[in-house]
Amino acid sequence: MESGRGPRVRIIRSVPTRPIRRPGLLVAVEGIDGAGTSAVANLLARWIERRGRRVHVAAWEASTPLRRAAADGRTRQALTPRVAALLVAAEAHRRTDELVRRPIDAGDVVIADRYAWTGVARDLARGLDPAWIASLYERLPAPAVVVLVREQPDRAIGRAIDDRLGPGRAEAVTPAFGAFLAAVAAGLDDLAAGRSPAPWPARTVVLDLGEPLDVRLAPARAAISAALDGGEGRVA
Amino acid sequence: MNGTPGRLIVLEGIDRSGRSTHAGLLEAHLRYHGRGVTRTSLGSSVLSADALRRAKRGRRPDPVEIALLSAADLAERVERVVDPALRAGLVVVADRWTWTPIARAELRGVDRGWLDRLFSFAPAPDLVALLDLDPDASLARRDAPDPYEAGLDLHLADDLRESYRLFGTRLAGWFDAESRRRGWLRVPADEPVDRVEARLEAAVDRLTGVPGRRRGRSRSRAT
Repeated sequence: MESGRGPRVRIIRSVPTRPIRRPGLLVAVEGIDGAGTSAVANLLARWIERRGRRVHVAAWEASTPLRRAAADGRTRQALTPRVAALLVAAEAHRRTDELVRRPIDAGDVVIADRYAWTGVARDLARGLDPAWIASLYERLPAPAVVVLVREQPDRAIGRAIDDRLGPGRAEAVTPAFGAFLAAVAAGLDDLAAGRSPAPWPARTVVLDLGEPLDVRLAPARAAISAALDGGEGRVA
Repeated sequence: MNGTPGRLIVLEGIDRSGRSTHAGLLEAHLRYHGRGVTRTSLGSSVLSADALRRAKRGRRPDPVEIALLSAADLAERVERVVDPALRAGLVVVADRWTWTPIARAELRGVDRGWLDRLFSFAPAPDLVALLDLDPDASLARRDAPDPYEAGLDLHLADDLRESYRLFGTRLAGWFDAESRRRGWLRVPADEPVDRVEARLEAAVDRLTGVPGRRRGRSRSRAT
């Protein structure tokens, strides 16, 4: 480097400048019903917005076809675990194209309030082959970071029932639903620990109980920070 | 053999190759010879048929979503119809199996390994017969093709019928390679119906032992 009086730089040729296009990023927040994934997703979204990125929160509603099928006596019988798994995976692909793929392609950040792991863990709880289930979701955009929000199944169930049926209706819950949620929670733990095949490798952050939510979010923020700065998470 | 006392016979082939006609004729033939028969056909499930139709008619049909719905359609029929029938020793005649949805997705760029894993739950057929028909002949036999089945989303041609012809040619090439690899029975579908029928019945009879078994039974009854 030279020190001089004036600038010694000469323009040799001009390079047309393009606006800097930041790669989009997908973060999945996973957890059982009532674990508080929506609260975590919204807090993370606000935090990322403060860093100057546009953020979308996409809620997982892939169980719509199952609810419709289960409500009808003619179709309920046909709803075996395998058929349910395939219908939910198809619905997830349909919704993901608009709610996840397009914003990411536009360079935005998407926080999925539950994503493929939730689908995988529910199918694991229904007793299907883990590798087959994981493959159903491997064509979805891969998240750069998966945040697993852990909650005791019985506490989560109480909250999930309050959400769905109104407060104080926990006695209306069948033991089967409680057992199912516990099995889904175990499936999510298996995915986080690598004991069960996941659709794609992803940096995983497990948020445990005990500390105030703001403190618990610190490791998730650190992982997302690294992904945003490192330009990771480009969706293939 | 699929490990059950039943037999699974699959008819594959492009549109208007006579699959459902010959499925009906095979059913009548087998019933005449005293075999119990169940038929099943692509897109006839209770839970997935409507969603499958809607997905194909969407503005931007997603081949992965359509493959998943096709698998749901087949899974329901396997679990409710095909598996119980095979265990009970019936002959199942299927109008298309995993190959038509796999071909339609693979020709749209979906990974073949993923498609094979997706459909790995389906029992292996005892006999696959490919009804060979030229795409031009298929086109001449039909009115307006379905846009997805014509591959219109692949932008091969603006005209629906021309797109159908071009996509049908690719589909025919796919089935040609697949049938050679797997040693399927190939029957020219442009021959008269009774000639096609005779060839299919001969192969099915060898598999199910139909007339032979019947003669055996009547002999034992006579003694």
